[in-house]
Amino acid sequence: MKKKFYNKEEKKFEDISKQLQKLPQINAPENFEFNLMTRIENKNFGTEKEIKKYTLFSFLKPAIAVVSSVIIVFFVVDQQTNNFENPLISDPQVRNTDSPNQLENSYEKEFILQENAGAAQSNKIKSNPTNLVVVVKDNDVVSEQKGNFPFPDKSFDLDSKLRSSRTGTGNQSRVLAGTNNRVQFEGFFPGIPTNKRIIDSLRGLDSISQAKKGIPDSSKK
Amino acid sequence: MKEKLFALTDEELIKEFQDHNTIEAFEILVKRYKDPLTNFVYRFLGNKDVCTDIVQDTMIKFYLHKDSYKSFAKFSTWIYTIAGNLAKNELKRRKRRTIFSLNNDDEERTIQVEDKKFFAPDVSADGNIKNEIIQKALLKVKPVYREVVILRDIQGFSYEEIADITELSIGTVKSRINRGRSQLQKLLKNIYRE
Repeated sequence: MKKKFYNKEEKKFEDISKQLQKLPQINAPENFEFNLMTRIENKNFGTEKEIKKYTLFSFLKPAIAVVSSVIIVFFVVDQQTNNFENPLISDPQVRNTDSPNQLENSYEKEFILQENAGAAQSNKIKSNPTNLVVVVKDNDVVSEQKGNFPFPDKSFDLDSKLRSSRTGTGNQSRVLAGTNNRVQFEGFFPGIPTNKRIIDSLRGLDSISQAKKGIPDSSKK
Repeated sequence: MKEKLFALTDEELIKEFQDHNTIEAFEILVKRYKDPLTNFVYRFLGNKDVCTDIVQDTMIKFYLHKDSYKSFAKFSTWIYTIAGNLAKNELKRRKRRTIFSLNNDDEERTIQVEDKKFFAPDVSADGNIKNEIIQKALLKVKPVYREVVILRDIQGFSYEEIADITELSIGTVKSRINRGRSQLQKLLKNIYRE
């Protein structure tokens, strides 16, 4: 093709243009046409095929893979969580019995001291156990007394027992045994009515002490 | 029949191919354009094997999408547009590859072209080596400038035709050609000194 010069810039770069024009012509290989026609006959269109591959299914493929993997992971994780018992979430196990003989490794042993008099007596103990019962007296002195276990039945309503003991005995004593619920002081106990005789005797003691100090009764008034 | 076809212009041949699906018309067009396109793509990419593949792909695109050619355009600009786009895609693909590649050939080329001591004056005078240096310098020019410089100075297209091929305005084509030539001149200044 004949080259036209359009502006002065063309002349400015004339040398470089000539150099480029002198570059040898690179021709296609001899088997170019044969290869091309073979490709066309075999319908080997290379990149064209790749473009045709992009169908709706090909776009959905990754989405299907992701969804199926999520479902699998969900079930696997779910099964694992079912096997695992979280102690913080699950309810504590309820004991079948509160029998003192079966209460091992617990603080209830502080209150119930079983007599281990040998293997022969163990059956007797089970049938009619002799226990040391902690008794709280009026003056808040805690003492241990030997006696039968106060709660012979396996199940026992401690609240009703305590309530009845308070009302019935007027807070004369509180029995703490066979339970892990310690009785707590919930308020003031009602005052015990004072005996007038005791007050008078105390007054008398007071007057005697005053007399010893030499203070007359009249000056007091 | 084939002799008749040989006498036809490019546009007439493609019309024949479009209308009657005459494979001979396609073959004649391939024969006419295989060498100029190979030269264009080789100068743009600098790799003979790759350029042959790209020209083959260009011809296959032409064969498959013959109906997308409109008669108001020149056939040469249409086929060069296809080849140019494929060559640019190859260049992008290569760039992506070189990002992850440890061995960068482009760096070596830079040293060879810019090192003035590398080629002695008598060696530079040798035609083959000089052509090689020019080709290497051409590959160092930015692709947007390189394409228009090749189309203008090597393939000998007019500004209007280049504007059609690259789908740019004539003003942009002119400025790009000048910038490309200027870059090339800077890269080859050691050759001109000697």
